[in-house]
Amino acid sequence: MSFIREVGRTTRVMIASIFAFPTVLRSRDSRADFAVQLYKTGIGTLPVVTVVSLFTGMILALQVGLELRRFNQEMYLGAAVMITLIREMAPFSCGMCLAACVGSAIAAELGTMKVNDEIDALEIMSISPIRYLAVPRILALVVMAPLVAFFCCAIGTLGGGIVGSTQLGVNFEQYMSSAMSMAEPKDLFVGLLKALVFGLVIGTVSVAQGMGTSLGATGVGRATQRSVVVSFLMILMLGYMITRVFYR
Amino acid sequence: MSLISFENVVKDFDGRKVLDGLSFSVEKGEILAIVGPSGTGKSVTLKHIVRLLTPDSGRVTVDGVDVSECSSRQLRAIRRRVGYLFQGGALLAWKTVEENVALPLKECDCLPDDKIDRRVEAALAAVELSDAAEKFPAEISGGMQKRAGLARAIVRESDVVLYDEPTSGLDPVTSVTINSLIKKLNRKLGITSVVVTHDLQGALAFADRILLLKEGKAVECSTPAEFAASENPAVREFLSAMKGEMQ
Repeated sequence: MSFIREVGRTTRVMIASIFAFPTVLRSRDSRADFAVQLYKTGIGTLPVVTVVSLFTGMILALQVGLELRRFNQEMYLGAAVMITLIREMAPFSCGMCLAACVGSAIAAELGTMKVNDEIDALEIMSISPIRYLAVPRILALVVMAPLVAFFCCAIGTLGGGIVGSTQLGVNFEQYMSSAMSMAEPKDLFVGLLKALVFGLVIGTVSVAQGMGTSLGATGVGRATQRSVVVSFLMILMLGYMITRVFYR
Repeated sequence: MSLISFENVVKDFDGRKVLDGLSFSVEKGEILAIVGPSGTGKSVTLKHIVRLLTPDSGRVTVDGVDVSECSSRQLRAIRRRVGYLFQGGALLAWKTVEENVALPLKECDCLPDDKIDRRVEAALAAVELSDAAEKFPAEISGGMQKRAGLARAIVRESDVVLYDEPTSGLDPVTSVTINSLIKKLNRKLGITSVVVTHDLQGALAFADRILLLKEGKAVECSTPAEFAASENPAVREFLSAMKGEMQ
């Protein structure tokens, strides 16, 4: 029963936020808050995203490269790394990083505001918490997630190239040309679409968990944990579904 | 007609009746203090007035409008008239005191900047907080945070202010300051006030009437003098408990 209630609440937050997206540009305060959220989501997560995607690309190149070498097919290393990253791993690791760094922070921040009566105070002032708090955060994730995923892909490919040239004897230029020749616009589109959907889901889940917080500090901790766990699960399930729709 | 009225209000949380047929009314321009032991539904009562909670049965009306049944437009109009001071002030941490006070004017009333500035200045002056206008909530004391919350509650020229434990956690001197502010705002601006408090001494000094809640029911509602002299066993029990606590 409580699961259904949670799903209902999260869906309501998502629909209300999507309808309220245009209002983010209405007032000076909202625009400023949106800019801050863009910065936190994009620039704020770059150090973690860089490390995660660099090592993802390096691990991928090492594992795939060793297998390709058995068949003397190292020249396809770039293509294999690029396609895996652009279709799956870049949006996936971007989603994980955003859920862990940004989603958890949103849930904790809004949860604390809820237990301190700040969200009730906004409601009494007839300021919609969805418009004032949720929209800038969710929209920032929707806008930045595809950009972060693209960045993940670029850094991951670079990491794969470094491993290929230093440990597998693949020429870096050959690696890059193989990578660029195999990736299609459709792969880029699907990868960015996934990231956008992940951004929307992470934002909505985190906001819904934060705003639904009760029971003081314990509740804030629980909301933060749940926002990360639910976002991870949603990323995995939606990732599979989107792949299933576009690659049959 | 009363400005605020509760008629047989019942509210249940997980099988526990917090309000059990509560009835009382608040007249325009008066200060009503709601007192009672912890867990008797004082804050819950306050939240019903602005529909942060809705009753399971019974009616809450503000100026004749049923708060739980009214349209969202009517609710906005009611909330426009009501200021609410939360226990901790409920200020947004990333905004200065001045910005917090200006928030409802900017976001809802869309007033021009110069008018907002004038109104914010006046509200801060009314609560004697002009010096802290540019400080963040974390940089000021608990009492100052409550005064900033009060400035935000009155900046829209509300005619009703609801106070939820305005003096809890404050030292006696600051408590006296806050209590006299409540009285001053009521006398100067004609603000109708409903004050949930544990500070019985303060309530006896500033309130026009005192309502005692026990187990979700109103057991006494009278003037401070009548309240202090009441023979009602529940009042006697409460007064002696408070006296013991003070000693």
